[in-house]
Amino acid sequence: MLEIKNLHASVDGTAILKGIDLSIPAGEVHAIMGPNGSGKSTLSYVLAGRAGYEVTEGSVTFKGEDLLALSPDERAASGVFLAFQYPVEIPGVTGTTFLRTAVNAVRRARGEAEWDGMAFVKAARVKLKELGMTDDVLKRAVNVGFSGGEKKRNEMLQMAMLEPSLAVLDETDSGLDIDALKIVAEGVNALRAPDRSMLVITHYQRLLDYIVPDVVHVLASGRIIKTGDKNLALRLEAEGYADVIGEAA
Amino acid sequence: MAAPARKFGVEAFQEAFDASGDAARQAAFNRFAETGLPHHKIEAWKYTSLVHLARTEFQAAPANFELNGPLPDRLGDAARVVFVNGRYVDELSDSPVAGHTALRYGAPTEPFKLGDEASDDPMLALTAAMATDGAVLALDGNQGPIELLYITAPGASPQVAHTRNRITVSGGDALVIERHIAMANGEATLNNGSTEIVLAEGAKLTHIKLQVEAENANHIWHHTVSIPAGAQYTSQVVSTGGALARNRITIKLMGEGADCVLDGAYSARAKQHLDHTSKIVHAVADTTSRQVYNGVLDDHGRGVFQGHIVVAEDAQRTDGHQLNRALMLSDHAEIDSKPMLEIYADDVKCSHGATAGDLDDTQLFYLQSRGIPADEARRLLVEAFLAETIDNISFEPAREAALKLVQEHLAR
Repeated sequence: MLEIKNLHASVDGTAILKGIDLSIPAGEVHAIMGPNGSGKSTLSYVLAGRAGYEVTEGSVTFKGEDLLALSPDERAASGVFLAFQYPVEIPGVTGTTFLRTAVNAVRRARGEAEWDGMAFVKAARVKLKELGMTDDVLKRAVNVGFSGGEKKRNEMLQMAMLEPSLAVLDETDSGLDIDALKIVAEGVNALRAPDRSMLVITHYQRLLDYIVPDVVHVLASGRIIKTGDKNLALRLEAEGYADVIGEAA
Repeated sequence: MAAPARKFGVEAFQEAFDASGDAARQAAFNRFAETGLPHHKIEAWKYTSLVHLARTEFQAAPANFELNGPLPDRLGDAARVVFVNGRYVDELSDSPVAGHTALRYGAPTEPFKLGDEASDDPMLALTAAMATDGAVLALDGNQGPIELLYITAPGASPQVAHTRNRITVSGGDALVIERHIAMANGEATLNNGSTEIVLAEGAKLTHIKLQVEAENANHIWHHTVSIPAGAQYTSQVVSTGGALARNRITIKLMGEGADCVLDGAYSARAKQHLDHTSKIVHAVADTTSRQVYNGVLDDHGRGVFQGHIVVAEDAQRTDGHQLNRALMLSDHAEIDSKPMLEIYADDVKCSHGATAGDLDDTQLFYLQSRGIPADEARRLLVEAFLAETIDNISFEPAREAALKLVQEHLAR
C-alpha cells in the first residue's frame, strides 16, 4: 500500500527527516512513536503534501504510484487521509458545505457520480450514527467553537465519508480526555478494513491500548531506529524514550 | 493671490440644469458649483476623486428606454417599485404599493431640505439640484417588504441619472431593499442618487442594498439616516458592480437607545473601485453603533473604507465599534482604510479595526487535504469571508440574491 524509501525532508532549510524507510501493507495498522521534535508531524505533512515541507531525497510510493508527484487534493482523491493534530477552524463554511464539496471533489476525481443534497445527507446520517454523532456538526461552521473532542470526532466523520485507503492519524490523542479518546478510537477501529491501512502517530502509548497496532516504529531524530510489535510501545511507556533510543544508537 | 482652484464638471451640469424657478434647486446647484466634482482635497473624498468624470460628456438619460431582457426575479413577496435610468416607470412597478408615492419633481409632495450632510458632498447637492424622480415611502411597519429596483439601461452615448428618495418610518418594523442592476453593457453611465431616511421614536428599519451595476458604470449614492430614541436602523450593503461605486452613509443617533448596525460585503476585480464611507454621529448619551465591512480585492481592484465616528460631548456611554477587513488576492490590489474616531465625551466604548491579508494557508491546506482542488478551496474561503456579513441578512430572498451575486462575481 505505502512504500517509503530513504525519505529526507526539510522545513525552512532545516533537515527534519533523515532517511525514513517504512512499508505498510494493505490492512495493517502501524504506529509511529517518538519524542517531541523527532519528525512525527513532519512525516504526516510530507505524506499529505503540505507546502513548505520539502522532500530533498527519497521516494514515497502509494498503490504503486509516486505520491510525491501529486498535489494535496490529488493525494486525497487517490486515498490518503490525514487526521490533523490540530483540526483547522473555517468560519463561514458549514460542515455540510465543506464535507459535500470534499466528498464530491473526491468522487469526481475517482470517476464516480457526484452526490446531490439528498444522497449526501443520507450517507452522512449513516456515518454520523455509526460515530454516535448528531448532525449539529454539519450545521455549524467547520470546527468553529468545537471542543477538542468534537474536533477529533469531526476528523473521524470526514475520514468515514472520504473512505481513504491510507489514514494517517497525527497525534489524534492530543488534547483528549480518556472518554473522548475511547470514542475516537472506536471510530478508528470501525474503519479498520482489509483494504485500508493506517499510520497512527503518537507520543504516548495510551492511544495504542485502544487502537492496537500490528507494527510499532520508533522515530528519533528523523529516522526510524527500532521496529517491533505492540509490546515495543509498552516498553517505551515503561522505560521511556531515552533508554530505547540509547540502546538503538 | 492664489489662482482660484479649478472646478470640474460645473459647466457640463450647468448646461443640463433647469431650476424651473425652484429656489431650493437653485441653491442646491449653487452648492455643487462651489466645489464642482469632488476631488482628493476634500477629506471625505480623499481616496475617491470624481474629477475624471468631467472628461466624459454625460447626457441626461433619455426618457425612452429599451430593456434587453426580463426584470430580475422578485425578492420573495416584496412589492416592487421600478426606476429606469433614474425615472420611475409605472408600468414596470406594482401599483399601488402601500406606503409608496412616486415622486416627480416639479410637483413635489414635500420640499426636501438639503442638510449639512451636503457640506462636503457636492454630489448630494447635485442630486438635489438635478433629480427628476424619486420614491417617497411613508411606512409604519404594516406594508411588508418593498424593493426599489433601479435599472441602468445604457445608451449610445454616456448618460447620467439623478434620483432622490425619502423613506420615513413612523413605527413598527419596516424592510426596504434597494437594488441597482444593469440590463446591458454600453456607454459609460453615472448613477447619482440619495436616500434620506427618517425614523420615528421606536421605529425599526432594515435597509438592504444590492449594487450590481455594469462594468463601466459609476455609482454614487449618499444615504442619510436620522435615528431618534429607541429607534433601530440596520444597513446591509452588498456591492460588486460598477467601474466606480461609492456608497456613503451618514447617520445621526439622536435619542437614548438609538441603535444602528451596518454590515457590508464587497468584491472588486479587474480595475473596479469600490468605496464605502460612513459617518456616525452619536449626538446624545446611550446610543450604539456597530459596523463590519468585509471586502475582497483581486486583480487591480481597489477598496476604500472611511469610517468616521463622532461622539458629542454629552454622548456618554456611547458604544461604537467599526471593523474593516480586506482580503487581498492579488499583488496589484489595494485597500485604503481610514478609520477616524472623534470623541468629545469621556465615558465611551469605541473601537476601530482594520485588517488586510491573503487567505489563510492552513485553511487552504486543510480543504485541499480533503480532496478539494486549490482553486475551489480558495473560492470557498473567499465566499465564506463575504458570507460572514451577508449571513446577517434576515430577509432570505435578499440574502440568497446577495450570495448569488457574490458567487457570480467571484466566478468571473
